[in-house]
Amino acid sequence: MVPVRAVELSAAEWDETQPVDAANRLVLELYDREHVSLRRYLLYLGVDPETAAETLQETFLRLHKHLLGGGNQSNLRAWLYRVAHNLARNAQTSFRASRTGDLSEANARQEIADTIATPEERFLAREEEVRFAEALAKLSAAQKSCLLLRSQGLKYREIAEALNLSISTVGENVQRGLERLKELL
Amino acid sequence: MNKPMHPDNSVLIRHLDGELAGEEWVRVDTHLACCPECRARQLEFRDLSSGIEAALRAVPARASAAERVQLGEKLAEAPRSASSSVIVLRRFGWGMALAAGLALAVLLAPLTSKAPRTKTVADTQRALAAVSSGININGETFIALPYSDPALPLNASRIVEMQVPVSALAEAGVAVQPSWNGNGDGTVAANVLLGIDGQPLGIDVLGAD
Ligand SMILES: [Zn+2]
Repeated sequence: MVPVRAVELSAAEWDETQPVDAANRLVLELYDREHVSLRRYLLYLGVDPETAAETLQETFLRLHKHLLGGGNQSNLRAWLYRVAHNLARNAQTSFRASRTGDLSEANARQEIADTIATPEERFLAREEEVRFAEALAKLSAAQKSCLLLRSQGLKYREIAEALNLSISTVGENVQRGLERLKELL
Repeated sequence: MNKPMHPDNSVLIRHLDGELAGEEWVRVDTHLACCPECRARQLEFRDLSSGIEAALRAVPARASAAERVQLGEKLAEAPRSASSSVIVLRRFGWGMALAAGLALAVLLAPLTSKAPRTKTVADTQRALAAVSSGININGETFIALPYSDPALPLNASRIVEMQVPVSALAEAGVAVQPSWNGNGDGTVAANVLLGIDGQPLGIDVLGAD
């Protein structure tokens, strides 16, 4: 796993005399850095692409407000995942995956194929990745979220913050999720 | 020497994820060095983790350039006169940190009686004294505050200049100087040393010596 460090702001980056400009700059910088990972996370949870796009817009606008309001800047990455996760969950009364519970393998395969746009990309979706996607679709929603956030380099403490779980529950979900994957693959 | 027990999956995974604390980490690390079975078991979890990463990366997540433009436009519409609200809300944020910190201060305060007591300035002053007498960073001395874990490394701290309510400082157990009411609104300009956890670790009131 490649650990990705949480974004830290230094006092030098944050220009107190121009808070609006500083906030705009930082929001766009974070958007450029994080939107692909955030979008993948949402799509993987079964959020449709339009809802994912809207969710991301709203998430980054809220980040802007959060920064201007002097909110805690110590872990903006976990903050982004938490807000995006909750907004998407509210937008789609339930994620597709959790509604259907255990997706059939055919469904999971189709879901991956559906999100892939061009024939070349369809070709590039390797058998291995499809197998993992199918197995992941069989985990509980909490196990899947924890494993996905972990694979984005979030520490357990950050995952706990993003999903509003205790750190020990995150640890349990990671463990049970990996054990289940091991059985399935 | 007895062969120590094999760590269970939960421990092996937390070791893999860098989620074990010092002593436990050393114990597991030492065990792994001499136990091929556990190494193999941990390797399986590592490969599974790489597989999840690859599966996630395979999801195409290209955004249209229009989405970024749209976000930029919405940001530009944000109120231009946010400065005053920034200060007000920052003060609020500071207050929240103090409130959270007070709970800690009560825990740190030496208990002279076993009965639960309400927190007093005296308690927090004692707590402060217990934390540290001062923090020196590049020649600037900060009065220690009890909110950030003093054990956290200082190198990731940052210093932010802000307006801090004098009353909040008094509550935090800082001995308030009469000359600190310079702003006339009950606040004082100070460099605040924020710990790696984002909580105030120390304070240097500007213009006070
Ligand atoms: Zn062993």
